[in-house]
Amino acid sequence: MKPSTRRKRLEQQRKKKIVRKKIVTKILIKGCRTLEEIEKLKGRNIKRQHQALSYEDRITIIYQINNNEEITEVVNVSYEIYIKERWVTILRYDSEHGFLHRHMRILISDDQEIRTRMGVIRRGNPHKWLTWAIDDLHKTYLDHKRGFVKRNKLVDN
Amino acid sequence: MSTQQQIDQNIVLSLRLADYLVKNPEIIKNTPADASYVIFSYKFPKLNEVNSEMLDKMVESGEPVIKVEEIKNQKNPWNFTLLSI
Repeated sequence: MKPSTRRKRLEQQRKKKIVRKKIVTKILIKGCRTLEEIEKLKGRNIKRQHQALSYEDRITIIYQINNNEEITEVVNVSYEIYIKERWVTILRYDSEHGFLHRHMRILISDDQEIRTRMGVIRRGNPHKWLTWAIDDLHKTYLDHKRGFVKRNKLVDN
Repeated sequence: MSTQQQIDQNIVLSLRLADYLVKNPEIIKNTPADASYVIFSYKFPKLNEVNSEMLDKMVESGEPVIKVEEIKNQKNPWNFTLLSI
Protein backbone atom coordinates (compact mmCIF):
# COMPACT_ATOMS: atom_id res chain seq x y z
CA MET A 1 0.00 0.00 0.00
CA LYS A 2 1.30 3.48 -0.83
CA PRO A 3 2.16 5.66 2.21
CA SER A 4 -0.30 8.38 1.09
CA THR A 5 -3.15 5.83 0.81
CA ARG A 6 -2.26 4.41 4.22
CA ARG A 7 -2.24 7.90 5.71
CA LYS A 8 -5.64 8.67 4.20
CA ARG A 9 -7.08 5.43 5.58
CA LEU A 10 -5.72 6.13 9.08
CA GLU A 11 -7.15 9.66 8.93
CA GLN A 12 -10.59 8.31 7.95
CA GLN A 13 -10.50 5.76 10.78
CA ARG A 14 -9.55 8.51 13.24
CA LYS A 15 -12.47 10.71 12.09
CA LYS A 16 -14.91 7.79 12.38
CA LYS A 17 -13.69 7.18 15.96
CA ILE A 18 -14.29 10.83 16.88
CA VAL A 19 -17.83 10.79 15.43
CA ARG A 20 -18.64 7.55 17.26
CA LYS A 21 -17.34 9.01 20.53
CA LYS A 22 -19.48 12.16 20.06
CA ILE A 23 -22.61 10.05 19.49
CA VAL A 24 -21.96 7.94 22.60
CA THR A 25 -21.24 11.07 24.64
CA LYS A 26 -24.50 12.70 23.51
CA ILE A 27 -26.46 9.62 24.64
CA LEU A 28 -24.68 9.56 28.02
CA ILE A 29 -25.10 13.31 28.57
CA LYS A 30 -28.90 12.93 28.65
CA GLY A 31 -28.51 10.89 31.84
CA CYS A 32 -26.31 13.50 33.55
CA ARG A 33 -27.42 15.57 36.51
CA THR A 34 -24.73 18.21 36.88
CA LEU A 35 -22.42 20.28 34.73
CA GLU A 36 -19.43 18.48 36.24
CA GLU A 37 -20.76 15.13 35.09
CA ILE A 38 -21.28 16.45 31.57
CA GLU A 39 -17.84 17.98 31.38
CA LYS A 40 -16.22 14.88 32.83
CA LEU A 41 -17.76 12.86 30.02
CA LYS A 42 -16.19 15.26 27.56
CA GLY A 43 -12.87 14.63 29.29
CA ARG A 44 -12.89 17.94 31.15
CA ASN A 45 -12.84 18.27 34.93
CA ILE A 46 -14.79 21.46 35.56
CA LYS A 47 -15.45 23.20 38.88
CA ARG A 48 -18.17 25.82 39.26
CA GLN A 49 -19.17 28.21 42.06
CA HIS A 50 -21.77 30.98 42.35
CA GLN A 51 -20.80 33.42 45.08
CA ALA A 52 -23.62 35.68 46.27
CA LEU A 53 -22.60 39.33 46.72
CA SER A 54 -26.06 40.79 47.44
CA TYR A 55 -29.69 40.02 46.55
CA GLU A 56 -29.09 41.17 42.99
CA ASP A 57 -25.38 40.67 42.42
CA ARG A 58 -23.21 37.58 42.21
CA ILE A 59 -19.93 36.23 40.86
CA THR A 60 -19.73 32.93 38.96
CA ILE A 61 -16.38 31.18 38.80
CA ILE A 62 -15.81 28.21 36.46
CA TYR A 63 -12.43 26.62 35.84
CA GLN A 64 -10.96 23.43 34.48
CA ILE A 65 -8.47 21.32 36.40
CA ASN A 66 -6.21 18.44 35.33
CA ASN A 67 -5.42 15.11 37.06
CA ASN A 68 -2.92 16.88 39.32
CA GLU A 69 -5.73 19.25 40.39
CA GLU A 70 -4.04 22.28 38.84
CA ILE A 71 -6.04 24.86 36.92
CA THR A 72 -5.56 24.50 33.19
CA GLU A 73 -8.15 27.00 31.98
CA VAL A 74 -10.19 29.87 33.35
CA VAL A 75 -13.50 28.96 31.71
CA ASN A 76 -15.45 31.87 33.19
CA VAL A 77 -15.19 34.50 35.91
CA SER A 78 -18.29 36.65 35.58
CA TYR A 79 -20.15 39.39 37.39
CA GLU A 80 -23.92 39.05 37.07
CA ILE A 81 -26.86 41.16 38.12
CA TYR A 82 -30.47 40.09 38.63
CA ILE A 83 -32.67 42.02 36.22
CA LYS A 84 -36.19 41.28 34.98
CA GLU A 85 -36.31 37.94 36.82
CA ARG A 86 -33.09 36.52 35.41
CA TRP A 87 -29.34 36.67 35.95
CA VAL A 88 -27.56 38.75 33.30
CA THR A 89 -23.77 38.62 32.88
CA ILE A 90 -22.42 42.10 32.29
CA LEU A 91 -18.71 41.49 32.76
CA ARG A 92 -16.70 38.31 32.37
CA TYR A 93 -13.22 36.93 31.89
CA ASP A 94 -12.00 33.72 30.26
CA SER A 95 -8.81 32.19 28.89
CA GLU A 96 -10.40 30.15 26.14
CA HIS A 97 -7.71 30.84 23.55
CA GLY A 98 -4.73 30.42 25.87
CA PHE A 99 -4.70 33.97 27.27
CA LEU A 100 -6.98 35.91 29.58
CA HIS A 101 -9.37 38.48 28.16
CA ARG A 102 -12.32 40.53 29.27
CA HIS A 103 -15.84 40.58 27.79
CA MET A 104 -18.23 43.44 28.46
CA ARG A 105 -21.92 43.22 27.60
CA ILE A 106 -23.48 46.24 25.98
CA LEU A 107 -27.23 45.75 25.91
CA ILE A 108 -29.68 43.66 27.90
CA SER A 109 -31.63 42.87 24.73
CA ASP A 110 -28.56 41.56 22.88
CA ASP A 111 -25.91 38.95 23.73
CA GLN A 112 -23.15 40.87 21.91
CA GLU A 113 -20.04 41.74 23.90
CA ILE A 114 -16.94 43.87 23.55
CA ARG A 115 -13.88 41.71 23.93
CA THR A 116 -10.56 43.22 24.99
CA ARG A 117 -7.12 42.43 26.35
CA MET A 118 -6.45 46.04 27.29
CA GLY A 119 -5.33 46.28 30.88
CA VAL A 120 -5.57 42.49 31.26
CA ILE A 121 -2.73 40.48 32.74
CA ARG A 122 -0.61 38.82 30.07
CA ARG A 123 1.88 36.78 32.04
CA GLY A 124 1.47 34.06 34.63
CA ASN A 125 -0.53 30.84 34.79
CA PRO A 126 -4.27 30.09 34.86
CA HIS A 127 -4.36 30.11 38.70
CA LYS A 128 -2.86 33.61 38.74
CA TRP A 129 -5.29 34.70 35.98
CA LEU A 130 -8.23 33.50 38.05
CA THR A 131 -7.26 35.51 41.12
CA TRP A 132 -6.32 38.50 38.95
CA ALA A 133 -9.74 38.37 37.23
CA ILE A 134 -11.60 38.45 40.58
CA ASP A 135 -9.38 41.29 41.78
CA ASP A 136 -9.90 43.27 38.54
CA LEU A 137 -13.62 42.62 38.76
CA HIS A 138 -13.56 44.12 42.25
CA LYS A 139 -11.95 47.31 40.92
CA THR A 140 -14.12 47.72 37.82
CA TYR A 141 -17.52 46.13 38.46
CA LEU A 142 -19.17 49.32 39.70
CA ASP A 143 -18.22 51.33 36.61
CA HIS A 144 -19.45 48.54 34.34
CA LYS A 145 -22.67 48.21 36.30
CA ARG A 146 -23.35 51.96 36.21
CA GLY A 147 -22.62 52.09 32.48
CA PHE A 148 -24.85 49.10 31.78
CA VAL A 149 -27.72 50.45 33.86
CA LYS A 150 -27.45 53.87 32.18
CA ARG A 151 -27.23 52.46 28.62
CA ASN A 152 -30.24 50.23 29.16
CA LYS A 153 -32.22 52.83 31.11
CA LEU A 154 -32.71 50.52 34.07
CA VAL A 155 -33.41 51.44 37.68
CA ASP A 156 -30.50 50.47 39.97
CA ASN A 157 -31.65 49.72 43.51
CA MET B 1 -24.35 48.81 55.78
CA SER B 2 -25.00 49.84 52.17
CA THR B 3 -25.37 47.34 49.31
CA GLN B 4 -22.14 48.57 47.79
CA GLN B 5 -20.20 47.98 51.01
CA GLN B 6 -21.74 44.51 51.21
CA ILE B 7 -20.66 43.73 47.64
CA ASP B 8 -17.14 45.09 48.15
CA GLN B 9 -16.54 43.03 51.28
CA ASN B 10 -18.12 39.95 49.73
CA ILE B 11 -15.79 40.20 46.73
CA VAL B 12 -12.76 40.39 49.06
CA LEU B 13 -13.93 37.23 50.82
CA SER B 14 -14.81 35.58 47.48
CA LEU B 15 -11.25 36.07 46.29
CA ARG B 16 -9.86 34.39 49.40
CA LEU B 17 -12.37 31.58 49.19
CA ALA B 18 -11.77 30.98 45.48
CA ASP B 19 -8.03 30.77 46.09
CA TYR B 20 -8.60 28.24 48.89
CA LEU B 21 -11.00 26.11 46.79
CA VAL B 22 -8.59 26.05 43.87
CA LYS B 23 -5.90 24.66 46.17
CA ASN B 24 -8.35 22.20 47.77
CA PRO B 25 -10.72 21.05 44.97
CA GLU B 26 -11.85 17.93 46.85
CA ILE B 27 -13.94 20.14 49.16
CA ILE B 28 -16.50 20.96 46.45
CA LYS B 29 -16.42 17.56 44.82
CA ASN B 30 -19.96 16.48 45.68
CA THR B 31 -21.70 19.84 45.98
CA PRO B 32 -24.59 20.70 43.62
CA ALA B 33 -23.28 22.53 40.55
CA ASP B 34 -25.83 25.35 40.82
CA ALA B 35 -25.37 25.98 44.57
CA SER B 36 -24.65 29.55 45.71
CA TYR B 37 -22.02 30.29 48.33
CA VAL B 38 -22.83 32.84 51.03
CA ILE B 39 -19.74 33.84 52.93
CA PHE B 40 -19.38 34.83 56.58
CA SER B 41 -16.25 35.96 58.38
CA TYR B 42 -15.27 36.57 62.00
CA LYS B 43 -13.55 39.76 60.71
CA PHE B 44 -16.75 41.40 59.37
CA PRO B 45 -19.60 41.19 61.94
CA LYS B 46 -21.77 43.78 60.17
CA LEU B 47 -21.42 41.94 56.87
CA ASN B 48 -22.45 38.73 58.64
CA GLU B 49 -25.74 40.33 59.71
CA VAL B 50 -26.60 41.43 56.19
CA ASN B 51 -25.49 38.12 54.65
CA SER B 52 -27.54 36.25 57.23
CA GLU B 53 -30.71 37.98 55.99
CA MET B 54 -29.74 37.26 52.41
CA LEU B 55 -29.09 33.61 53.28
CA ASP B 56 -32.51 33.21 54.93
CA LYS B 57 -34.22 34.62 51.86
CA MET B 58 -32.31 32.30 49.52
CA VAL B 59 -33.10 29.23 51.64
CA GLU B 60 -36.79 30.20 51.73
CA SER B 61 -36.87 30.43 47.96
CA GLY B 62 -35.59 26.83 47.75
CA GLU B 63 -32.21 27.58 46.17
CA PRO B 64 -29.31 25.24 46.98
CA VAL B 65 -27.09 27.29 49.30
CA ILE B 66 -23.76 26.60 50.93
CA LYS B 67 -22.96 28.61 54.03
CA VAL B 68 -19.21 29.28 54.22
CA GLU B 69 -17.68 30.59 57.42
CA GLU B 70 -14.18 31.94 57.75
CA ILE B 71 -12.83 30.86 61.15
CA LYS B 72 -9.64 31.41 63.15
CA ASN B 73 -7.93 28.19 62.12
CA GLN B 74 -4.82 28.36 59.95
CA LYS B 75 -5.01 24.74 58.78
CA ASN B 76 -8.73 24.76 57.87
CA PRO B 77 -9.81 28.41 57.67
CA TRP B 78 -13.23 27.70 56.09
CA ASN B 79 -16.29 25.80 57.31
CA PHE B 80 -18.81 24.59 54.72
CA THR B 81 -22.48 23.79 55.43
CA LEU B 82 -24.92 22.74 52.71
CA LEU B 83 -28.27 24.24 53.69
CA SER B 84 -30.82 23.25 51.08
CA ILE B 85 -31.06 21.11 47.94
